[in-house]
Amino acid sequence: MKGSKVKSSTTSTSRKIITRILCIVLCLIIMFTLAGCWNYRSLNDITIVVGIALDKRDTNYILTFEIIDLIESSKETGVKTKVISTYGETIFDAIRNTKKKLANKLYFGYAYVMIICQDIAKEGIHEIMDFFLRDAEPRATLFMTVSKEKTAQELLLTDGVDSSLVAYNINFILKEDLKVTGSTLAVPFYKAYRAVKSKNAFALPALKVSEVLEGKKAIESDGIAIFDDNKLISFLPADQTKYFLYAINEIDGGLLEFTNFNKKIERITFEVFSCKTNLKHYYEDNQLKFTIKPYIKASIGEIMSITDVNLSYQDLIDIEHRAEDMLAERMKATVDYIRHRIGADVIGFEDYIYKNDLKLWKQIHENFKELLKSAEISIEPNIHIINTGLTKNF
Amino acid sequence: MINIKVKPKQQQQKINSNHLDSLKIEKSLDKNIQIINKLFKDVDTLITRIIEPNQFICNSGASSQNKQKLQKDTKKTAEGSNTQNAAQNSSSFESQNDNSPNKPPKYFIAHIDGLVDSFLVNENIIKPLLLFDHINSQLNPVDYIMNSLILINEIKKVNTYKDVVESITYGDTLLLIDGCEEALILNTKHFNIRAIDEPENEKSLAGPREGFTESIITNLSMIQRKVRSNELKCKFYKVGRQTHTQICICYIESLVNKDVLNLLYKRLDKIDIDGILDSNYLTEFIKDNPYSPFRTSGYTERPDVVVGKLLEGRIAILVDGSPDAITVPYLFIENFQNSEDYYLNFYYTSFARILRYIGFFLTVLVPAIYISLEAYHHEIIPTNLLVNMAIERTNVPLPAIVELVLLLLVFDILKETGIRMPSGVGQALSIVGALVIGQAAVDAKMIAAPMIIIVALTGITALLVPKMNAPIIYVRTFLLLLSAALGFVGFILGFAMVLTHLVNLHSFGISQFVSNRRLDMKTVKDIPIRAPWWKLKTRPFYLTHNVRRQGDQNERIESEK
Repeated sequence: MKGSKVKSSTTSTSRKIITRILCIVLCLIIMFTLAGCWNYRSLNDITIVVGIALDKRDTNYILTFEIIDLIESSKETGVKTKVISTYGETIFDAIRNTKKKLANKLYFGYAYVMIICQDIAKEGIHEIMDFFLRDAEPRATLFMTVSKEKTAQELLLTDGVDSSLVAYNINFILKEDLKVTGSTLAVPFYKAYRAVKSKNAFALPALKVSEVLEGKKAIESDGIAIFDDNKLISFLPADQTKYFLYAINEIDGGLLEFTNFNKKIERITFEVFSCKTNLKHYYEDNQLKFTIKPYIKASIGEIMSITDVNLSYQDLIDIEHRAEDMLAERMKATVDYIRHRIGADVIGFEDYIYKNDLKLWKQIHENFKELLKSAEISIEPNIHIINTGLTKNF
Repeated sequence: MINIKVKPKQQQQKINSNHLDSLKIEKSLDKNIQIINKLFKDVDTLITRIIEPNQFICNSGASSQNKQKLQKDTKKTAEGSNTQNAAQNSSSFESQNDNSPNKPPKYFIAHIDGLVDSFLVNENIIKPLLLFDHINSQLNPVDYIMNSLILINEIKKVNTYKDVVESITYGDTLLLIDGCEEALILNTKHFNIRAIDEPENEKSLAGPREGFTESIITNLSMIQRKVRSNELKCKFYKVGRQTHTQICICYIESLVNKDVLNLLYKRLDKIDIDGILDSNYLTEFIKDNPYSPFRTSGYTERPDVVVGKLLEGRIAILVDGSPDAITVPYLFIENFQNSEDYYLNFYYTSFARILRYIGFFLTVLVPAIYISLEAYHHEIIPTNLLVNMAIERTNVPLPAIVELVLLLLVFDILKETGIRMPSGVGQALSIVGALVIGQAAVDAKMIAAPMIIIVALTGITALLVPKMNAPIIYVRTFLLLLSAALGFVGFILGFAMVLTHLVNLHSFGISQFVSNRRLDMKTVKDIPIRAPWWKLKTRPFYLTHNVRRQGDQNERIESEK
């Protein structure tokens, strides 16, 4: 009696265990077959795209991709790239058409830059952005650029100077520009899209082909392209872009160089460490007034003078004042150029008022463009020399 | 073999069916001899002997001449004397007693060859028995012999054959006295054991170098020597229907958690097995989660480790014949703790302990993460690495997951051959084999080079936590397969499942993983790092109620500085 009881209990527990194991196995089978491996794609099944160039011929889009050449690349030669081109009625169509030529599908997870030709830019860039919003692979941090050449393709066909990947080069040129030269603006995809969506004026970096050595062509950043209502309206050259960047508080470094500086000094270069620009507005009797106040911390990077200059404290103060005046003059010229000649509010005055003084914005936003053209803009830079930069004095 | 007709059938059946429990020692020596001979039939290592003191010699005291004669007598074989006696003397002790009340009785001794110290038996048992002059009829002869005659330190009175058999087979000597229903078990154990040396598997740079041997008494002596207190309790216990293996439960009375102790006894009582050859038999029987690959009891070959654990309120179980002691309860953290942690500088050992954690995570997670990255989440890999990995992967025939599973298998094969091979050769061969195979396989484009790195990293880091050798393999494979199927989703899913399992693990009712629901600085002192000794003022509170380990004196020394 007792024995049978024990036996029955053990069989029931073993049955329980068996059902439990079966449940787990079933779960795993269902999981693996329905959901599992849905996206298993080994690294040798993908073609890695690093750069995209968009051109338009007639009604077709021509897409050019810089892809990593896994066959030519090796430990000895380093990474090599190939450029392939395709066309289609839409962007997606064009991308899919590459599969006719390639064994693997394109993979956009490592695309660094997208270069847009002027034609597309002039027509408006919103239509080409949509695919990149929908597709899962391209990153939102992909840099958007505009080609100053006839086509965007040309830029990808240049030679990389310090890296064989042109897109990689562009990526670093743009990324570090604000800290080192301050001549262009790096705009990731999401920022560009936000500006397009809000129909504000915005800027994208412009790129051109330049010759580094005889016969060797390379990429060079060349100022910015200014968009208004998602269409390209003008380019701003590199030397003016710098003062534009001071105005919009984007500078993080770079140089300030002045010639014909003062009696003692012929040419001087400041190395900028940081810049903080404050914008203030006043509104009286239908008259807008803006004050742009860049506060710059810099050191003296170079003084070109005929004789040795011994800088006293007073000299430094004089230098500061003189530099402030010259910078104000140049910034004023740039701001006026943008405001009057280009006619786009790329500096973001309207945006600023919208964010800081909504009441005023409601009052004036309908005829803001006229108001801006007649607005009084004063620039009051404050340069603070934190050191003379002299490390060796014999 | 034995010519005896007086054999009740019932008794014979009992003997045959080995019901030793109910088999009591008879009053008649002859009957007892019969039973013994029957029990130990075909056990040729059993040595038996009848001792029949000569009354004359006994009464007149021992002279050197008579001694010689005696020794001659004793040279008779046991069997011969048995039959002789049985045939000659069928009368019982009482009848002899009637004739001469003070006449010493006949004795019978039995022991197993090789387990006893012959010199001890001769000098301390046989000699006094032969030379003893008269018996005091007032006293029970058993008590008299036990208390006043035999020169053996440990004597036990028994009355069943179960005890007799168990003792004889362990090197004790049986002494039967004619006319008594009790037998004496005399401790004459003497057998060769391995010398005490440093355990091969638990070498350490610092601290005691001695390790347990196969003899439980030697092992206990090593523990006792370290804890010179009556608080140290050693309870013997027998397990194994055939082997009757001695196990010993050691604990420190004032520190031990009584619930754990009761639970241990309960579990030990339930064990019904024919033999216990190693402590692992017990480990598996007393486990809380029998199917879990994770350990729920510790093992060590080092007496210092055992004492360290006893001092934290744990219980140690020693098994005769096994150099591994079991310690319970076992916390998950003990997988990463090492006796050396407490013997070396705490800065160094804290770092070493953190390394062990890192090693555990690396060995378990690296293959799964690698396969997730390789097959699903290319975005996360830095570009240069991705390009290099992709270059390596071109023209490789097998998918990454198959490669990885195969290589992990190969690594484990190499490891296993390394262990099983004759010493010295194994390691060298496996290293060379692995290097050559790995290099050649990459050169021949059979496998991708990063895979070798992953497998090597996984394999080597596994060696950092040797106590987790089994769970590591299963958890790693489980996570690997889930990651291969679902990428990071599977990885997180699997990790959560493993974590849930760990949190559910108990050792003797004590949660192994989460000792406390809140972060307690006291526990932090000995878990991620090893704080200096003067900071370790308390024992782990979940193991014992007696938490304080140090006095306040130390604090004062600190403040003086």
